[in-house]
Amino acid sequence: MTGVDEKECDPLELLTRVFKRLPSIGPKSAQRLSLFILRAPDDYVRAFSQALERARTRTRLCSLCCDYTEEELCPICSDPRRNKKTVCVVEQPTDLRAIEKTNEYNGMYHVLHGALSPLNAVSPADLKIKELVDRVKKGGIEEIIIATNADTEGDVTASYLMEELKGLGLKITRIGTGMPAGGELEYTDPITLTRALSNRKVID
Amino acid sequence: MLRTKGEAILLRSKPSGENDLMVTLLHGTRGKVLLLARHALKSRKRFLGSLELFNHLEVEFTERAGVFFGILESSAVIDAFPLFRKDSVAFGQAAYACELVETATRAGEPCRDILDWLLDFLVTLNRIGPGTTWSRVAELKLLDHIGLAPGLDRCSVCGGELASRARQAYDVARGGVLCDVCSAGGTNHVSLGTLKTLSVIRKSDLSLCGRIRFSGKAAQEAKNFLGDFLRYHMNLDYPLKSKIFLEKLNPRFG
Repeated sequence: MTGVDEKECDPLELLTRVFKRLPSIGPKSAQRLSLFILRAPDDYVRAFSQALERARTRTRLCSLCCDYTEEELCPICSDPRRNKKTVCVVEQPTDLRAIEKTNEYNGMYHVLHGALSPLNAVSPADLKIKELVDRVKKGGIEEIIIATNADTEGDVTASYLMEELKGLGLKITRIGTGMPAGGELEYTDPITLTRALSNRKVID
Repeated sequence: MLRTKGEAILLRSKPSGENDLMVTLLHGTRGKVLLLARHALKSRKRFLGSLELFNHLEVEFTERAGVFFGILESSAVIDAFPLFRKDSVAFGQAAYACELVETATRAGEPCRDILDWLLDFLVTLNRIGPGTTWSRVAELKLLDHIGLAPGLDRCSVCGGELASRARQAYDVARGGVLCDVCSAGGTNHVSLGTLKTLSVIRKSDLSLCGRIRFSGKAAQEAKNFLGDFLRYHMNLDYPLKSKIFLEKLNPRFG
């Protein structure tokens, strides 16, 4: 698992190596986390270990939206008050939670679990695109809101999705992009400015 | 501390911690440089929108002796390539060219001519659009720029004329195609038609290269032929990730 002989390695070293494999964790941070675990109260370490075990064994993908859930359907997909005709497509479960925090959206979601990324060999087959197309073909969906990130990977994923969903009789929209709240024109890059100009609105 | 300004192309970026971005740039005098863009994921003023893949940038950065990565102080977009945001094949082919360059260049080694070539490649691909030949164009032109392009027209050992037959022998270790005398015992062969098309690509401007097409069989042959040279001369024992991406998307573009 860690690429080392676990029996030969001392427990602190092994724990450090396990932490080092986590995203954004370097050798020093890994060592700090290991020492923290060794010095922590037994109760905390037990709860930590159980939380890991539970997340790993009980969590699966929602059979509709592909978000993580403990049940067949996640709480959003099984909520009868949600608008089932609109589906917002996001890259990651964290994006779904960010939109939920706004309290402005009452539709459904679909989580792709990534974006097209040639430098990481992530192709359409590696994302939950087929699941989305199948979901749409089953009927009942009228609008797809593509809410992938506004970076190159997110945009190209949005374009790919638009092509895949074209012809299925849907209204397809892309979340608005342009000047950020608090942004200053002087510091804004050309692509953002171009988008802000082309997506301009009449002031009521 | 070394402070550097100038043009660069953003080859790769990866989040580092919660707020920072680690970027790999290709810079004319400093070659391939690894830089930390502090607060790039949060800052509204310093980097917003500029640190997108394959953007042509005006940058300023500092490097300290003995430190693995430098610090990106500022960046501004000179050219961005809108097609790569719309077309997954074009995006993949741009990524393949950039990944090849990333593999072929080293930190601290000037590479102005490769930077100019890569920029020309990205500009032309963005203008013309994706095609089945771009991956071969990137491979051959890059090998040419680093002095490792295969000999295509004459024997790579003795410089003699090639016999006029449909298939020609070649040897990656000896630098290209071989005449009858020098090829004794050789086992790899490539068709004359494929060699001629590769030769045209080598001599042509990028804008013309994008319009050249291989026939079905020649396309696979050219892929294998140049693949042999990349593996041998650039130690590419593994397929680049962008190549895997293109193959999965559509093998014709890989």
